[in-house]
Amino acid sequence: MKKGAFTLSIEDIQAIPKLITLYFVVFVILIGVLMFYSRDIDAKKSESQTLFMRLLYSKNCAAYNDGLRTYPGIIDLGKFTEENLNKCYAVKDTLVGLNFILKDFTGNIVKEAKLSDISVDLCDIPTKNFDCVKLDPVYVLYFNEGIKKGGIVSSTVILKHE
Amino acid sequence: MNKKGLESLMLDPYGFITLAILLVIFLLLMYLAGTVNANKSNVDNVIVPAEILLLNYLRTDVEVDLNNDKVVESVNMADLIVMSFGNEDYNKKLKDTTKNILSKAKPYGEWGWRIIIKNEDKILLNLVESPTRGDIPRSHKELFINATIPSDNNKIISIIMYPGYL
Repeated sequence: MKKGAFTLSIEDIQAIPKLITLYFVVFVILIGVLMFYSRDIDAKKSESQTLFMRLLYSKNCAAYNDGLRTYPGIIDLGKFTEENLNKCYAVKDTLVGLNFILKDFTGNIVKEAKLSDISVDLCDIPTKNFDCVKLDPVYVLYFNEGIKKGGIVSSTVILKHE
Repeated sequence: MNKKGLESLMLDPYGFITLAILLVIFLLLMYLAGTVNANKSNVDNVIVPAEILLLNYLRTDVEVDLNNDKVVESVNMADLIVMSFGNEDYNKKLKDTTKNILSKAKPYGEWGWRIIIKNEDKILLNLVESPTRGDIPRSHKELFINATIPSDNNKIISIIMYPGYL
């Protein structure tokens, strides 16, 4: 035998297809797992809805509170201000922006709150470094000069890219 | 089989085919798992505050001439529903106000709200807000919202709201 040469036993030779199969199996499993984890699940709307719910449910946001209890879905116009909602959401200098418009039944704007440095008008631009999620309008009640009235809240959530 | 009992994989085609089939099934399951998750995120969109709509619908004030004395008084929709079961004169007001509210609150763009108001004996109102292509699947229980209120004759009134495709 030449110096430096090595010999393969019959068992080694027979193990080669098994090793190839083993590597193939590991490769397929890895591909499968990566395929699952690299899937992009779009949760933007869910995230936006959750943020919006806070407006209706939290007494720190815009939900009406009579001192005894909070009424989810009834808007306190005194709380529907940019200053108060900025405190409630604390989205300043974050990647999230919000825009709420409260309209009466005739379509007139009763109040508007912009919690974003990006204008909602820019949402129609095709290429931008943020996403806009326009949520479906929700029927709410609000007190105006002591009278309970019905209105619609439309909201847009702006999610900036990192 | 050789002397030492080692078997070549190539000599066992059935085993090899079984392995290949299992791998394909594995990949398929992983693919389907991802698809199911992607759909789940769409279902999550359904967390529209529908309960708020029903709650606010019942709390909405409406002006009604209660005693036919030309003096309108303010009652809420829950009261109007109870009154409508006892007096059919209020049915038109109930229907018009309901239609007005539901037409303003389109839940998911292409969908409109349907409402059924009934007690143990009869259906008072079965209103489709606008012509719909059909109901949403009954399996989507999360899309059905309901409330019960007591009537003045100790019967339970059910208000069921659900969206349908426009």
